[in-house]
Amino acid sequence: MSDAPPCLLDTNVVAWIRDNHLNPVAYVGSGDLAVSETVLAELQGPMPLHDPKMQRNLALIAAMGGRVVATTDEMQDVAEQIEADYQLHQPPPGDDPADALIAAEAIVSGRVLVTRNWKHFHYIRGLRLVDARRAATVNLIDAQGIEQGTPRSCPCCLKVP
Amino acid sequence: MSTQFLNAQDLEQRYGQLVPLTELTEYLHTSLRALRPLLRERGVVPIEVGQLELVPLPEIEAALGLTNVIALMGQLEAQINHERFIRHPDGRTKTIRELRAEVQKGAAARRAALDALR
Repeated sequence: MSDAPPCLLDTNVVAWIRDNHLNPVAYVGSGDLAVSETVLAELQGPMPLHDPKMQRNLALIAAMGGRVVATTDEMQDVAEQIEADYQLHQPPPGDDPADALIAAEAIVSGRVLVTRNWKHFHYIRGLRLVDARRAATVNLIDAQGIEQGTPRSCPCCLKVP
Repeated sequence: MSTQFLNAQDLEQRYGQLVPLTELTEYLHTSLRALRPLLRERGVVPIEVGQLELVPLPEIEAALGLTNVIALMGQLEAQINHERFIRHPDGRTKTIRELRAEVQKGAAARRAALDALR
């Protein structure tokens, strides 16, 4: 696990870990886990901070070291570039500014994105990601491997230049 | 029929984890009208607490052949929150700039709440 890369957890992965009572470090297989400001805001949604569910989210993130990747101007620029570059992809990232921002946060911070939403991220060049849809309970990185985001020959990617 | 007075903890001790029937219909993409007869047929009786109807999770899992309902409902809830997060109230998709500005607004409070737990 010492060689495992730093990871950024997508919102759906935090919810998955929380609801399955998993140990985040053992589940992902990396000791350096973080969320981003965008993920944290999405986790909160319309809930007040003192809502028991938000408190469980915060306690989970605190237990894994409390690392929060701040969203920088560079990340915003990269997210806007992602939106512009992949308009021909189906679904296009323009439909989802949060996913474009999360991808940019992972790329610029040098972290591997761990997500259960593979379809919105797999085509983004420069993004390294782990597909967390597999029903693993330990060491997801070993089980799934780290993918390099790239458009491929599947129907959803065929229009990407 | 006698009325029993139980608190939430007593209820969960007796029946296991309880989920609101309305949340279950959302997760199953169905309606109360469709779900009620199905549950009745399989012997699952909702527990009425005030206006709320709760169903015991272990019974639902057994009756409908589902596993890990809580985690799957959590994923559905995350999807619903995601949609709300990226749209304006009028349904327009937020721009990246707008979304970032919104995230920044509450960021300090969220960090402070997180630091308080570390």
